[in-house]
Amino acid sequence: MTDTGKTPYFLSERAQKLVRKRYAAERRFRFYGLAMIILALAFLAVLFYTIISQGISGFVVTNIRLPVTFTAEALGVEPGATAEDLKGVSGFKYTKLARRSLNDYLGIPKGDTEDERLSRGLLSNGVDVQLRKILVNDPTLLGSTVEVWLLAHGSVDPFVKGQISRDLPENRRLINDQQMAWLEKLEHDGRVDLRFNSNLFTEGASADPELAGVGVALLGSFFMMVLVVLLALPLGVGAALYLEEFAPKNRFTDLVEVNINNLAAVPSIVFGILGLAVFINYAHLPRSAPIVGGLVLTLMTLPTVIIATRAAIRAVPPSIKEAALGVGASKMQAVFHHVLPLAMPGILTGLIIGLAQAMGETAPLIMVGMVAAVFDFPGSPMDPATALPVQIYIWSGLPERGFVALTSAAIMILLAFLLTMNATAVILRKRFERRW
Amino acid sequence: MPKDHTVSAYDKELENLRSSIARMGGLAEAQIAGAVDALFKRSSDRSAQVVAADKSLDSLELSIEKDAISLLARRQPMASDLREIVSALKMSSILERIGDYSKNIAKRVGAISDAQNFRVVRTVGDMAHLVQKMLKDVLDAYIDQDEVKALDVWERDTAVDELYNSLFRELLTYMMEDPRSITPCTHLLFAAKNVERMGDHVTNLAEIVYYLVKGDLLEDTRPKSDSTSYTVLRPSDDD
Amino acid sequence: MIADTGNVKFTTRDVHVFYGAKEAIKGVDLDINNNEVTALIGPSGCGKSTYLRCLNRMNDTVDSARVTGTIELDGVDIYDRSVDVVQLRARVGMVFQKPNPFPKSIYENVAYGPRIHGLATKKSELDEVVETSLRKAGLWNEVNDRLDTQGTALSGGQQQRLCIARAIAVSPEVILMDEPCSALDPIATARVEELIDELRENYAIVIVTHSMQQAARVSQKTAFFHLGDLVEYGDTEDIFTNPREERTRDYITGRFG
Repeated sequence: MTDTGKTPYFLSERAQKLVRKRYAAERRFRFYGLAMIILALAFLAVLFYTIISQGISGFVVTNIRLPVTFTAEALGVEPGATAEDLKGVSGFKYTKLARRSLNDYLGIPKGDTEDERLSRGLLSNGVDVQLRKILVNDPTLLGSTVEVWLLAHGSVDPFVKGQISRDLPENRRLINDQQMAWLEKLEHDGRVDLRFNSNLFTEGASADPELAGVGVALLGSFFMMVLVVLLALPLGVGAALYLEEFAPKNRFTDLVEVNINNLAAVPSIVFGILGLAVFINYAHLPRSAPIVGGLVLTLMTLPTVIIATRAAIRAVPPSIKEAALGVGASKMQAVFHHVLPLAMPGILTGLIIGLAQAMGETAPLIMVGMVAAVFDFPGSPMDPATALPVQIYIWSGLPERGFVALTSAAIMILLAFLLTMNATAVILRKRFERRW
Repeated sequence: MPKDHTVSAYDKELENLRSSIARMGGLAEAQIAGAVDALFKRSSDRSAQVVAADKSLDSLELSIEKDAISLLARRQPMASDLREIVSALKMSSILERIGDYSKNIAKRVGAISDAQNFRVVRTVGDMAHLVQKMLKDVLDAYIDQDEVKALDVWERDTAVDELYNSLFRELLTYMMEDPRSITPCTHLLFAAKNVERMGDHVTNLAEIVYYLVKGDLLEDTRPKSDSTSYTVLRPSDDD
Repeated sequence: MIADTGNVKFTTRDVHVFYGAKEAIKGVDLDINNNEVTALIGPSGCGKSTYLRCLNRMNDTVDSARVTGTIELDGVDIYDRSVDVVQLRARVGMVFQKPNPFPKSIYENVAYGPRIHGLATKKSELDEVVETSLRKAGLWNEVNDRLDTQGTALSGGQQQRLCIARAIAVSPEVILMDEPCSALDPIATARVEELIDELRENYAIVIVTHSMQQAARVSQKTAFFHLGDLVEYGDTEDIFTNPREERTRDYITGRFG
């Protein structure tokens, strides 16, 4: 055009230069994009590596195999006692039984108080529970000797796992040279092994890492999630349906809308303070209970559910609603028979994402007192419990070496839950995605 | 016959159009026969009948025209349908012309009634029968969508032309011989000319039928034998 | 502009429609006859769809829309307070521009209307309604062996006939069609047009169409709208061969604007 007309413009040097520039710009942009993704993936990889490398050892725990003789006399029961009788025996007697077998194995005579005291440090405080369980399960074992895997003490565990060097000077170790020698003898005899840490899933809080678990936290989280689903789903969907389909469009509804959107962005700690003020101080609901946590998380999840539901409803083509109105369905029939079922995958996706968000929430739960160390399983949402992320928070502040691994292990459990939930959301979306 | 249209009302309308043409063709045939009949019988009643009957041909043509225009406007016909409707338009006007010629012949019956020479009237009648037969065949060709039959009709016009040529000479001779016969002979000449024109129109019909069936226009290579336009008869010729 | 023949189904007088401050229909007087197809034609934005949507009060779903004037169905003003809009929409069925079957089975699509209106109480009755509706819509032979498949799995033309069957299933008196063939190919269009011609026997049909050829093919009466005015109304044949108004003539001969 600007050329004299001999060469067409698009073949001219100027046009070609523009083309090259355009290509270069595109290449640069692609490179930036790729670099950013790689960076993000790298961070993710580092995160996963640290968590998994630390957490994986939390799923196993050191056990010592010992021949335990269940003598009726030591337990203070009649030979041929029933499971019921054996259940009633005090834990201390079982503990003594375990200690006796260890001492027998290590050749520590009865009455050698110093060695006896030291050898206690090898076994966990939870061995009584283990032994009782074995015996109650099979009362016929009474009077016989059985090879039993017993939990080692939390201070032994890091040495077996190699997390603390055995070459450390004695005064900087939690176990002294004598105990180390016993441990090595046991290891030499093949009596020490890392076994699956079932306590991690079945137990509550404990001062001993080998006895601590996320069981109570899981149950607490479960109660809260159930509560969130039961409250946030109907409330959120109802509110969204009303706003989207029935509410008149005026200043008031605009205001409501803006506020809902703002609520979604309110820091979670604020919800915690609200929960503390309203549910605990005003409504006198029990502190530390999943019911309060659930209510707070419901408030937090509600905006997410409402926003997701409205988006899902808006994504349903208006032609479907028109069709229903066209055959003489009332507005409510059109909405409930056609719009809502079609929006359901989107709504559920939003709910699950909201749940996942709530599941990982810590701050508001701390505000409502769910940070307490709870040893017993809650029987109902009114009983004290804790939550998985709060448990992680608690453990991360404990000094024992064992809790470092447990913290990471709990994070892994939490991540597994979140991933499962998000995957469910994706599957739901894919599965029920409709084409119209 | 082509397959039915998805819209059945369209088929019905086309079918109506077709049957209207066929009806018109039948009427035109009857008009030719009636005119010849009136000519032979020199019956003024019969001739009046033919003249009156022409009205129904005219009204049929009008209704076909209306239907065809309506079809064109409302159905947006394509391909064979388009040819069908355009053909119907043309055929109806040709058939109406044929009817007009028949009416014209019938009108001349009174003027011819004192003609002496019955033989010439007979020849005009023969011509008319030929044309009538051609018309019948071309209508059959139309109804059967038979282009071979149409072509056959197309070629048979020569015979009519030849009859007309000889008749022309004959009538000229009569008129030269006897000036009193000029009036009836002129009327007969016009009657014969009308029949000849009808023959030409029937060949046009045949061409239209051919076009309707094949979609091609028939090239104008038809043998023409009407030489009367060049015929000059001088009294000396006879000597 | 007022029909002189036939039995009148809809009588509309001085109909105005406002969208907010904008006047979309500026005083339309039009009668819709029974057993006839009335086509509404005109350029985009001429108000033909808006007018159509007054007839079953579909405009009610638009917040800003306001309708004035009288629209009488069998002599009863449909905007009267005593008229239930839901019942009205059952009496005046509608078929939309884009085929919009519910994402449910073919059977459920047709059965939905009768079910919510309580037209069929027993399963056998419902089956019968579904079958007759599908038969009337000319779809039965194509789908009777797969009534359980999704309505959305059908072809575009079949979907539109399914929508027609769905509308018929509640035994309406009038069927409104808003450009029912604009998303269909010519073959499917022809089938729907044939169906419209058949349905004419039992219903009053009003069809909005962008294609004047279609209006010419399917309708007996045609109304030409322009800028919210009803410019001309008359027998389809007259409108398309000898329009009285200059604007109509210009529009149908393609000399517009």
